[in-house]
Amino acid sequence: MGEYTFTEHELSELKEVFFTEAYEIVQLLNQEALNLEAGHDREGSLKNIQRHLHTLKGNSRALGFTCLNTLSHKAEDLMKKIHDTSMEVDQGLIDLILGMNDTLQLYLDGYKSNMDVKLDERIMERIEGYLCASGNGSDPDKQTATGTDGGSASCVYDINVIFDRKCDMKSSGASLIVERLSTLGEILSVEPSMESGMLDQADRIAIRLGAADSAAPVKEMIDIPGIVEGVEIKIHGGNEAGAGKQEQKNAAVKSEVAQTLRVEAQRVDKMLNLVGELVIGRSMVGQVLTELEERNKKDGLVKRLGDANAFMEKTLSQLQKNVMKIRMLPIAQAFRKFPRVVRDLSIEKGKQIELVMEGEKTEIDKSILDVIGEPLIHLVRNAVDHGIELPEERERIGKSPKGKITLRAAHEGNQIVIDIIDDGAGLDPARLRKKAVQKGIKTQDEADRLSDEEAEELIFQSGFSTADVVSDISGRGFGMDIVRTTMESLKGRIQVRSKTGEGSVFTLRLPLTLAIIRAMLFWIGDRLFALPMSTIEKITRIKDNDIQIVGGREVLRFRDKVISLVSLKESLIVSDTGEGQGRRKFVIVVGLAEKLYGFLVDRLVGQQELVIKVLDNHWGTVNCTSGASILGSGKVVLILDAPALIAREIRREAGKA
Amino acid sequence: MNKIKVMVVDDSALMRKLLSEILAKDQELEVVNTAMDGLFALKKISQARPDVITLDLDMPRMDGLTALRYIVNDYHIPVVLVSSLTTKGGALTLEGLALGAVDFVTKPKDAISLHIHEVAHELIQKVKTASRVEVAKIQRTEIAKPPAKIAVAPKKEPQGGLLKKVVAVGISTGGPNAISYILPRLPADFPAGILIVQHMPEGFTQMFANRLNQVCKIRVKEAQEGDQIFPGCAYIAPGNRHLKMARVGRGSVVVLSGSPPVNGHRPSADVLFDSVSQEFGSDSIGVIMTGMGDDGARGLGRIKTSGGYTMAQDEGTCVVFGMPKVAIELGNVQEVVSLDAIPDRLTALLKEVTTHAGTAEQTV
Repeated sequence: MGEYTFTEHELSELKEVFFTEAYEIVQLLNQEALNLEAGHDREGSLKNIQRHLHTLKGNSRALGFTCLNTLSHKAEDLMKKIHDTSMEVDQGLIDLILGMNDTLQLYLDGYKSNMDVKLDERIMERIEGYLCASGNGSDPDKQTATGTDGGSASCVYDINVIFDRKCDMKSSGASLIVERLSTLGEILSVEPSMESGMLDQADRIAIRLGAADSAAPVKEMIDIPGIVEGVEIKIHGGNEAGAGKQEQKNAAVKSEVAQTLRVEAQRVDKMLNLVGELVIGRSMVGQVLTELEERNKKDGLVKRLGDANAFMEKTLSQLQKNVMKIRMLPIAQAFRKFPRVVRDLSIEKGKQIELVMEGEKTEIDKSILDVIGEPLIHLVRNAVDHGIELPEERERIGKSPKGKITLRAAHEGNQIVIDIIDDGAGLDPARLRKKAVQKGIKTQDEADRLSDEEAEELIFQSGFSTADVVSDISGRGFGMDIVRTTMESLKGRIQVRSKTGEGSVFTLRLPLTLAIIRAMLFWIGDRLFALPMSTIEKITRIKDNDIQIVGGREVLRFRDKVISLVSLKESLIVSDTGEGQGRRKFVIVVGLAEKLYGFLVDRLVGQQELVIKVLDNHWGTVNCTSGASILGSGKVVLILDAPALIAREIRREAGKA
Repeated sequence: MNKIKVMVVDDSALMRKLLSEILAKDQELEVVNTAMDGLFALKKISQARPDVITLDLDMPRMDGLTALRYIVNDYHIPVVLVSSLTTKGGALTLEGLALGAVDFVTKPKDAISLHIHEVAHELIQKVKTASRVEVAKIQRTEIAKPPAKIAVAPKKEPQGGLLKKVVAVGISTGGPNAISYILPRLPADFPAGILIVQHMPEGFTQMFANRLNQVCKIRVKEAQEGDQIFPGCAYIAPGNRHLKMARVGRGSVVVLSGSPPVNGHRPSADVLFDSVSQEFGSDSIGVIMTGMGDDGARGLGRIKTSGGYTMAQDEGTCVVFGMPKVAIELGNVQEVVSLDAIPDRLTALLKEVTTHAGTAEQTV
């Protein structure tokens, strides 16, 4: 028999699974710690925390991550102690648990990036402090002490004895059981009680026993044939009522939980890619079919081919939807960390804040989910830091001292819309204008001409911070910058609406997926281009005289704003076919994060679903494209990268000036 | 050849992956399904029809023991428990074995990359062995139920009687249940000291001994270095140490050793049998019982050649007829006994030997 070994590949796969699971566990630990603080289900939370820590402990040991193992082990001791001694769970303790989780996360980060991880003695000491605080902490891994001396019960057994149905002397059976158990320790309660006379009708009795030894042979003692049918024992467990509830819950969960399967994201991507190819194939067949139909209108065979094609198209679009669905995850995964963030930050800032999360089940593509966390964090921190006022201030202006932040996600068409709503101070356009001038972002004249709405959008400018005191959390002015760049890279949009004194609403709009997009196709000169619909605000037709020149730039009045016009023909250096020189032009109004721009195009083709093919690096030189797609006709369409185009346009303008 | 179909049940994704990967390394094994808790396991059993199940005991929703009850009672599928090396894990494991699990392995206690071979070897062997076990056989021993009369009366301190006889027991898979059957049935005045090597990890043995002590008339303890060996006492080898004995003056004491594993085991039955044959020779009885492999089979022969008496548990009552089979094939066994007959047979044999030895002393 050969040596069993793991290849490097297998080991790295195992590690990957470990890290995915471990990060998940840390998240769950945070969640449970907050549940514990809320105090809804102390027993349940403690039990869950212990179980998660136990899993983390075992797993990190198996992979030799010593620090993780040591800390999770210590943490498990602490949780056990809290559980066993009914220690009061105060804010200090919750802080310790959360701090513990943070350290676990740090270790995870360290191990994941192959760094040398050192045990943080401070947190170990803090835990040790609690462990020694009162009573003698017991180590769950330590072997039980021999002997039953000491008298006082160190662990509690909840024993559920189910009587044999054929037993007709249940009350005497019960007294026999109680008598036997009393040799092991102290009987704390019996239900139904021995005196109640209910015993002969009961089908089970619940006994609570305090014993010094966690390995007492309870089961062996009372599993008496003829009297006892079965015995359920819970060591250290909560009360019988709690246990019963747990079982009911289990039953409820049973039907609810869908079976899950962990699959590498890569495999799904590959599948999605193939589906993408199929979509192209579908349009190719569709194209041929149209030509065939034109040629032989009466041919029955063509008609049958058309029917078959229609059927195939229907199935294909279902397939496409379903494959996309595999990549979709509930946004709850990104929302999960916010209760913790808001809690910590509001304590630090001396604010009282209630966080409400809605639409957590809204699903979003995993690749978007992975990056959406950071901008959301900035916006939420901002709301806590700058939005919600201090409790005294709130009371002074007649608001409830407790502020409220709402995170809300919902689907809207093929977009996901995330609102971050706070009932705080809101933005003050006058102050924003002043600030913009101070920072040299706008001239006084420009600032004065900004509408309130435009003024509010100033906060997305890089280097713009409105906090009078720059705080280390969100006041550096970089936060909004990150939000904006992330939104741009995701082809999403951000908007802010605010009412001074009443609060602000930040709205993020994102495409559901980045792999297949709905795009508007149009011609510029002899070339076909596309822009993602999610970036398009409106398409409008204008006459030549709608265009005005302001400061040497072509602009257009759109709604109540003035937007810059970009001639794509110039930007993309497309040879002019003379088309579009007429009196009318099409303008595609594109929203980029908070800004609007108008793109002048020659001829519109219409909307179509495009499967994005990422272009190789050597295409990167045409850096205004974000990919390409193949149409059914075999024609290649370039998908324009609006942010890059605009950036180039701005540079060009600057160069001219 | 049909592969042995294994289902892995564990609430940790890492453990599911790790166990599956290890099992997949053996060509005879095939992981047909995994489940993250008891409820899913039960649901999947009927589709996957596994031959063996590896079962984690500490799981949310439906815990391992509850699932185990269903698996052995309703599906009769052999189960190998995967337990953590903790007090709780140990207690659950013993409980699980009593409920009808065939065997158990412990979760890796160090970086698996360092000793993947041992971990893999143990798991694969145990799963393969379990696949051939008839579940009904484990349950038939009914060891979960101790004899109706339970010795709860406080035991007398060992009266310091002179140790004249020693019974040495070597046992592995299926052992906890078999031992739990035999020891409670021995009388308080059992005339020999009993030394037991049960393949079990550190931490589990003490709990095992404590539990037994609560239900036996004889005293049962985990052997500690220097323990004096008394008649009417049973000493269970601690996990990760070899159990030997030595005569000191007129008495005998326990000697523990950390020397390398023998036959892949520490404690090893061969080491115990060797030591007993040297120290007690004709005043010893060697018993080899249920378990896979061949640990103890040769050592038993040395007890026999040094004049001691040797017996083996019969095939019918062995969960795994491995060690006894090898011992019998080597011609090292004088008597084959079924599990239920062992307590009485031991008591009877010792009476014989005692009287015999007594007359011998007189004649000298």
